[in-house]
Amino acid sequence: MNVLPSVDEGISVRGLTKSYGGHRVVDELSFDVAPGQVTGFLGPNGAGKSTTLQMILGLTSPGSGTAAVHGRPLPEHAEPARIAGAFLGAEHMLPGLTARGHLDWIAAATGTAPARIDEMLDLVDLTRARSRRISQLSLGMRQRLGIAAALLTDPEVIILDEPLNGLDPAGITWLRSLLTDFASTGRTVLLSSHLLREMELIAHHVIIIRDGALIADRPLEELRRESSSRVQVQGTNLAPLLDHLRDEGISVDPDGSGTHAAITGLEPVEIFRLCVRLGVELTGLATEERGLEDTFLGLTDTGDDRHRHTLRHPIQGATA
Amino acid sequence: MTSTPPTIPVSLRVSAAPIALRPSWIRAEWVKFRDLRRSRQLLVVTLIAGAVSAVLLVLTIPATRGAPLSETSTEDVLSASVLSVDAAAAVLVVLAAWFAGVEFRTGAITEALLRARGRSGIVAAKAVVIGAAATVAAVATAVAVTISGSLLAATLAGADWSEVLAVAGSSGHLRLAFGSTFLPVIYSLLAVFGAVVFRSVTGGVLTPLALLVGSMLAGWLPDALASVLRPLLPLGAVHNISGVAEAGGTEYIGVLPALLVLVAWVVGGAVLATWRLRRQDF
Repeated sequence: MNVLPSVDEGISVRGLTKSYGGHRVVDELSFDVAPGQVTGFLGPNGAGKSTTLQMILGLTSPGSGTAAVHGRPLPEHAEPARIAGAFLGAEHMLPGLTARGHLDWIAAATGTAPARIDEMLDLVDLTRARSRRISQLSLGMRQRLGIAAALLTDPEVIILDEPLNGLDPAGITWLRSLLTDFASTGRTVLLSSHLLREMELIAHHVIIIRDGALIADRPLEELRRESSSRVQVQGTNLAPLLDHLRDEGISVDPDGSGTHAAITGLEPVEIFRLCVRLGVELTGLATEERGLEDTFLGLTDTGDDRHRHTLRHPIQGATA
Repeated sequence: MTSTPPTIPVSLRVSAAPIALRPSWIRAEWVKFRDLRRSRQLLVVTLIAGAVSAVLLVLTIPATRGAPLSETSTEDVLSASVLSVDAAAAVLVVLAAWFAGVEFRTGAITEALLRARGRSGIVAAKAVVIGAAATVAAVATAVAVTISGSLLAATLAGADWSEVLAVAGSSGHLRLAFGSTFLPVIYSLLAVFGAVVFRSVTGGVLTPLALLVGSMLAGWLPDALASVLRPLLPLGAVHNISGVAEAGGTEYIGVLPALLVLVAWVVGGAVLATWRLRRQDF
């Protein structure tokens, strides 16, 4: 359940709406981001993810609705940098600054002790690149510098927009450890990505939007379970099984040879029992694990009425 | 240099509160200014442009005034050299517009905005840093061009050193030289505000340029209208401070009113820039 233990913790979005030129980019969006876990924010390109994050961070004013970070809009906190750290993209840094200089000015602006700068450079393994200009850093290094900047003030909440871009598999593993470690201290992590397979490795909970509206707000595991899984069966003569399943209205997808088929809507144990009853000899039985990407595509591609497909838990105190 | 990050992060929670100092946006902007190579380069270019143009202005006196240097007074040689402070102003305007505008061009301004309690502090800090840098650069340029002019007056124009030093140290020349430094400082500040208002380097450069053109156009207006407009524009106000505006002329309003005019431009520009920054979405 993604229900906040306290209204003052995490992120709380209620009825958030934003339009540009008559086009509604974010549409009555409501969700909570709980502390203590990594929450992924997913959606196809143009879904309104970045605009939503910008409204949460106080960079963009909402048309209507509210976005609270630790109980109130971020700009209304006495020390917003102490509450939230954010990374909005590697391009949002002055390319002429050195890596150290980038953290230096943020430290000065936020009153952060200089010793913390060295800690963060060490954390993201940029100590030896501290004197290099940001323009001379690789995309992955710039991503890590941006993450260091987000963590510099030791905030309670971090919000990362597409932090996986430019990271190699080792970098993604590193970021997963970093964010899990951060969340395990009871703090809040919200990250957006269109790299769904990578998000699947990092997030504990996902919020999916399309056309600015909520599509799903579930723990990742629950979303996986609720998604229809397929079972691959293999045998010399599957015809009795497949005929029986068709009669029962269960979806089957045999290959041309008749020795392999994919079955949707039944657990493997049910299929096994059915095979025993029908006298069908199986040589293979395996669950086909659907990736988050498949689930995501299924959620965002089906039907015209997006609200019909909304998968979510009720939000305590939600007004929208 | 490795590009592979550590696989196991060090502890994220620090024992002591990392925010232990007083936040200072002025210090933050100064760190940026100091760390950026281009800002340092443009400061050096300011001095070089001032000194070189001083030499050129003095050497072209025979062509522009129709008299050889040997027949030109020391006062004229030195005042010609001081005109090169305007060249420094051009470079400083570019520096100021770039410094404030590049963050909008790259999107780096969001890094500042999401850490700021209020947006007005960012505009003020940029203005303070650019104002300080422009003041130092403009004064240094005024000194440099005075030295250049003095050397040329003593060598090419054949003036006595005692006369050159007397003219260079006279109140009239000092007022002209250091009064002229108000122009690069004010135009640099207006370039900062223009860059914020228009969210671009180009907007920053064009803002003082438009005011300069406006001053020229105002000079072509009938005296009744020009005498109202010209003193209210930054160039006219600076001319009052530097002594270029003569009593009875259309620019003349006196030193104190001129200072108030410049203050009004700076305060008005800062208010407009802050208002725009507060209203903008990023």
